[in-house]
Amino acid sequence: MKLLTHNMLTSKCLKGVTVGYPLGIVAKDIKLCVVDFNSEFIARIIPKLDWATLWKAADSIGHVGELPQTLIQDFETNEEFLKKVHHVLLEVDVINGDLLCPESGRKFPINDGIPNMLLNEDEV
Amino acid sequence: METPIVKLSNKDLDTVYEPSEDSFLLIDALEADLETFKSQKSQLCLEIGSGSGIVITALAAALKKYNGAYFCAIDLNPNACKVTKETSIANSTNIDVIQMDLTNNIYARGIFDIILFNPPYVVTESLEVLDERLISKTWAGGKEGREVMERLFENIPKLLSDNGYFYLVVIKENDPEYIIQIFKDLDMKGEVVMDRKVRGEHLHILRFKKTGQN
Ligand SMILES: C[S@@+](CC[C@H](N)C(=O)[O-])C[C@H]1O[C@@H](n2cnc3c(N)ncnc32)[C@H](O)[C@@H]1O
Repeated sequence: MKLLTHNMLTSKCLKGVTVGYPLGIVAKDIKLCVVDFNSEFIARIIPKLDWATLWKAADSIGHVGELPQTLIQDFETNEEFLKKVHHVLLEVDVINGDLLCPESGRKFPINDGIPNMLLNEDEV
Repeated sequence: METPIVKLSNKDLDTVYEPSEDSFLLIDALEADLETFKSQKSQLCLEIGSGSGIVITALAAALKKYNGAYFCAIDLNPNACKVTKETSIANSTNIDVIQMDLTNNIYARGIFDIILFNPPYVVTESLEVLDERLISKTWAGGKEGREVMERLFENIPKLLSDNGYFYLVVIKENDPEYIIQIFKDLDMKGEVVMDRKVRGEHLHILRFKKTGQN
């Protein structure tokens, strides 16, 4: 699971949970991979992200690097910055671990890179 | 668009949908719109019910060098998730896979440029939709074959970007015109972009976009 995917996952559909975002991450196994860098893609994706969630997620699994906690101005033209975002969004892959609902603590296991978000009938 | 290599073992075939005419018709419909995706620089792509992963992998392979896009696949069947991942790797594409019921856990921020769903569309008893066997989840659609897909519809406008497209595979028995009307009430315009008659099924590909956009 890439951190870009984590950025769009919520546990709001759990009974009694009101926001369910962002999910916590407990990473037991992380793989770093190499993905082609496309600066335009990253520049256009940044406005669609929840920046604070991305930063916190990366920080919590020890891969935030030099990524600033608040989004910088003029990021579109800052190649160095875009490369750091690229790395955090697409090259850090959580292979095994858990996602955690911030309100209920419900765990969603990640195995072989695939989070299991399925709920039991009595949870919805 | 090239047809991806898909390897399904006999054990996989017990639960995972084997690529069929409906899968290929959806790929054909995407191929016909490829230039639009390139010119719109479609970025974020999501497939619900990816099965073997053949469709999203075909799209990823065709778009990766142009848009550097991101691809995400969902299936409720853990074996389908595993096979989708394998298919993506075997075809040198990069697809993140999530085991999920429809889009239940996706934060709806209107960011997806392309959403695909080839749902279980066969008309069955309502009870069959609840059948726990994973292989029946690939086809059992319940009343008018719409019971599973209908649960997703109201989420589509919330997930889709302003210029985004939603592709849905249906058969004649699902009543395509009725489905287009449902989307009209959600401020979305739908049309049949392709249809094909195969062994007792009249397949249609419906394509939807938000009204008020070009
Ligand atoms: C007709 S198959 C299509 C498979 C593949 N996309 C293709 O075109 O070959 C339908 C797929 O939807 C999945 N599915 C059915 N109900 C679902 C649900 N509620 N949430 C997620 N996936 C579902 C099934 O497991 C199956 O893989």
